[in-house]
Amino acid sequence: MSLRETIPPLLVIPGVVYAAPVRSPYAHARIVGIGRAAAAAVPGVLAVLAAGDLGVLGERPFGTFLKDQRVLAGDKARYEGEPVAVVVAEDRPTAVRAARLVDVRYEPLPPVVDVERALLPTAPLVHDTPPPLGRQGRWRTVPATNICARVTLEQGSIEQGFREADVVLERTYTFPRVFHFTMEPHGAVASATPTELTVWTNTGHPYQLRQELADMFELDLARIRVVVPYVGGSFGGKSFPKLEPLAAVVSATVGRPVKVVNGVEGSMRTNRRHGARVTVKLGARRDGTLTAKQARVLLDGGAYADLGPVVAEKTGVRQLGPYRVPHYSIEVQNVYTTTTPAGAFRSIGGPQSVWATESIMDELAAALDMDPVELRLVNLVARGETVRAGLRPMDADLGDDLKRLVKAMDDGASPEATGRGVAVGISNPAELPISTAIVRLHYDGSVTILCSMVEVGQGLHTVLAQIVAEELGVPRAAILVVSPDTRFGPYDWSSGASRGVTIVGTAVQRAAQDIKAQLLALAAETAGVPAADAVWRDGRVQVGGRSLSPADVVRGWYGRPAGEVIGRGYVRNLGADPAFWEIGMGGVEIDVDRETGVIRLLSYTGLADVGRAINPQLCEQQDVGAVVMGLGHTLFEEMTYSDSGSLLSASMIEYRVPLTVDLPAALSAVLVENGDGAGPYGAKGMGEGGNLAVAPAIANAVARATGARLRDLPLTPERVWAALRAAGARTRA
Amino acid sequence: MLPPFEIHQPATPAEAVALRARHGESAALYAGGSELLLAMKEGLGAVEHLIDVKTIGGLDTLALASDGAALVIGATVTHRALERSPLLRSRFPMLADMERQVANVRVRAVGTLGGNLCFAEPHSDPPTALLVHEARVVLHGGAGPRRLALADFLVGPYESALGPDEILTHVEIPLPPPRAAAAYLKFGLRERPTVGVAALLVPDVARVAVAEARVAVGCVGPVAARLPEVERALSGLPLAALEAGWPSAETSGERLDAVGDLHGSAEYKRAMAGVFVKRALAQAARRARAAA
Ligand SMILES: Cc1cc2nc3c(=O)[nH]c(=O)nc-3n(C[C@H](O)[C@H](O)[C@H](O)COP(=O)(O)OP(=O)(O)OC[C@H]3O[C@@H](n4cnc5c(N)ncnc54)[C@H](O)[C@@H]3O)c2cc1C
Repeated sequence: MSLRETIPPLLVIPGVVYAAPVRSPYAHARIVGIGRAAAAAVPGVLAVLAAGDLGVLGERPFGTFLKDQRVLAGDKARYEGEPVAVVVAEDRPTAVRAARLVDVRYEPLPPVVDVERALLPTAPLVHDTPPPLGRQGRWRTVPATNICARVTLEQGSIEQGFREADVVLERTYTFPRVFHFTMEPHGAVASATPTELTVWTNTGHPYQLRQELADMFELDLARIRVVVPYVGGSFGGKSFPKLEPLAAVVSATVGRPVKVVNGVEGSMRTNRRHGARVTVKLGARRDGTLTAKQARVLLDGGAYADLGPVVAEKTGVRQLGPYRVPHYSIEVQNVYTTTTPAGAFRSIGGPQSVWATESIMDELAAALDMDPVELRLVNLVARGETVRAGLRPMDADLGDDLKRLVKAMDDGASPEATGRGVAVGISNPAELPISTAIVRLHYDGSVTILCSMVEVGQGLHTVLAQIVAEELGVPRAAILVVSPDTRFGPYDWSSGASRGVTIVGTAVQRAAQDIKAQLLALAAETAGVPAADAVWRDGRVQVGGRSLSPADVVRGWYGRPAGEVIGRGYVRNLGADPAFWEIGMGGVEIDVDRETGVIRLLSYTGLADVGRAINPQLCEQQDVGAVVMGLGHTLFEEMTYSDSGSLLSASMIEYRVPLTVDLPAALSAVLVENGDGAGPYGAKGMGEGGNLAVAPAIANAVARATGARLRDLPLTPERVWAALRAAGARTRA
Repeated sequence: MLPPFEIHQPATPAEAVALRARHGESAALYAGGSELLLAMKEGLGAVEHLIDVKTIGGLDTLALASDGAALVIGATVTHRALERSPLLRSRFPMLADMERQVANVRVRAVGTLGGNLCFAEPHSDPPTALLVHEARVVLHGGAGPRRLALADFLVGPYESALGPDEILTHVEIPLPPPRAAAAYLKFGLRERPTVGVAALLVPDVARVAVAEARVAVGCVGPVAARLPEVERALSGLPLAALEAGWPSAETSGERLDAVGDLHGSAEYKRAMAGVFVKRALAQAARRARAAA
């Protein structure tokens, strides 16, 4: 069994048929005709469907923020690989083979592959008409341009700020388009009837998806059922609708349950991270105090908005960095291009922003002849200080964190290192802290937790069980966490943004506490004493001189081994937004092979300020995992498109991800636990932050080791080699 | 997803040749399938018949020829078998070392030397290493077997001198001259190498200077090739100088017919060829001096 055949394709749904997409070979092309005959003639093929065959469902656009996408491209294809038709067959091999026989006739249109050229007045438009806002949309497109969303942030007067500066630097940094590469590609099975729709899928967002499907099918939320098993990785790539609308619409059209699954190459044609081009101008006084920052960011959003407008908004805040900047002006534009749509990816806009903000801090340190750590300590916001007006004041001791990072690096310093670099990342995660949880205490003392954040491998379900075990004094082994099913489970906003432990964990903790309160009342009622006479001690109820286990209380109240106690927990906010600041710092020691440009990583130390590590091992592994993922966009990964918009690195043979051989000789994570988070037991979220510092820390180390400053990711050996030659040429000149 | 196909399992080269003649373009020779099946899954070509070369008797040989003058490797011997072969390790340690670095263990376990040479992908390791050993290939066609120097077999990217009715049956590698020592270095970030360099040095009797040098570079240009000018310049040079790093090596890639691609620009590849020629020579020189 290959990986692509696992969840949800493993599900056996009676009568299921398979839909294989026919993908556009052009980045931008008008669809002028679909030749169905050859494919339709293949035995086992049930239907060959293009957008026009899907009725009104084929015309209804979807999109959580902008409704700009249809299940199949209708009039034109907007990126190479976009589904323009599907072949439905009794089995998957037949569907896939017949899909190759569909004869789609195209009229190629000029592609839009580069963000800057996409903004030229002469650029072809990816979307000819402005799409309507989605349910959660706040930003409209700029009509008659390729600007999908434009966000600005201002404070003070940058003119004044730059006047007060002794040193002003302006630099441009670029960040590549990269792919999530989850072990399990996207997959969905849908079964539509006129009154109900059920979708089994590996989405990260069951409730956002439910809403989208309800809008498309004009059904009540109660009639949409989204079932999500364990998911083989998401990193954001499975957030929001992906293959589900297609599966659902095809099912409604053919009247059978329909399965659509991607191979890894298909997933590469489904979603990616936003590429970015960041021009930042930074002013400082001679003592290092920052006076002003101006940033202009172009995000390459690809063909459809997906989460792009929110990525733009988050990028704006993330451009500020963890520093006191009295005057700033930031503009972020998410730009449509005819490439794979970009969406959520482990800290949206985070690595792109921190790459620029933390590279320029080291360039500034060099210009001021200051130690880069010192420069940061001078400018870091203190606990309680404002990062951005309207947001939660800083809830961490960043200076202490940075000093701890440096100390950890010093303690493990490698004698072979010729350069070291650090970077400090912060992000405002935990978007919309809305969650609900149901905890069921059974009369044998075991517990079922119903929550709707998806277990994508991050370990959340383990931690939720720990929280309930702690609250109810029930052994961890007696607790079962159930994966989301919107028919039975409680609402949750999303599985992303490092929000699980803090927000969903709080909902679950409240549900467990609700059970505790109910147990006291029930025990008192059973014993016939006033409610206040029952007390909770050491995981048991003390009442009328007796000590009862939670199960005793349930059985006692129902009078027999029967019944259960149901706790509920609601969260609508946890104080100011964000619920916490996610802190991700990193320090690296390197050596550079000057002949080849290969960067050798000797040590990498991550630091996550987690408030409370409810499960330290999971925290460490999340942080280290995020670092390793960060090594990808830092050293190797790039979705390379040709000028015509064709994806050149279109399989895992051409697309290079980090391998075990690429890991630094020493790789560790420092966890800071000050018990100061808004989540259970003072926990803050984590899991994305480890990604933030990797690229700038490494580029900063390269600059210190060699004098060569790299501003374009990934830092491939050829780029480093070319930069070394250029630096050498400058020194000789 | 693999399209449907019929598999044929011939027992002799002649049967395989006949099957090729019968099915023409719709047939493909199938060894480990590590390249072929990938291409078929992608829907490239219209292959309906697979002719399995692994069932042909004798193609799994890995032994010295009866006259002892050459090593004979059957076309279906896998990279993994070569990497682990005691014979290769003792008599052709550089080849064993090179084989250990091909692809990943999954590919090595099924991928064959014959498949590698016939696929003729420019970013490969074995051709480069075999060139400095002056290997020959044995091809079997309708008119019987013929021998060809490997250098003549490698024609261009994805192109070999294999005739439409031929199969590759064996690779013959002459035993190297006495005292010869060799090194193979590969460099690259991707699945396949960006640059591969093989160096073989035959020292004089005193093991002080180079009597004969053979240097080949692969992956940089359309086919792996020897560098005759570099080889000539090396003749007579002290091994100690090479071991310390021969500065002239750095320019040895300059004249290569380099092709820029996802692996790197032509300029970078030429420069890396120079760096790795220098390093491979240093390694080979160290071995040539040290060998007892
Ligand atoms: C992920 C990956 C990484 C790789 N990395 C490397 C690397 O680092 N270095 C490297 O050198 N190579 C690399 N390769 C290539 C690998 O070495 C080859 O895939 C393998 O050797 C091909 O052998 P095979 O037996 O599987 O060939 P097949 O796939 O069976 O055949 C390949 C081609 O050769 C033809 N053929 C096979 N046998 C014969 C024969 N006896 N006579 C005539 N024609 C024949 C077939 O018809 C086909 O066209 C990599 C491959 C993959 C998939």
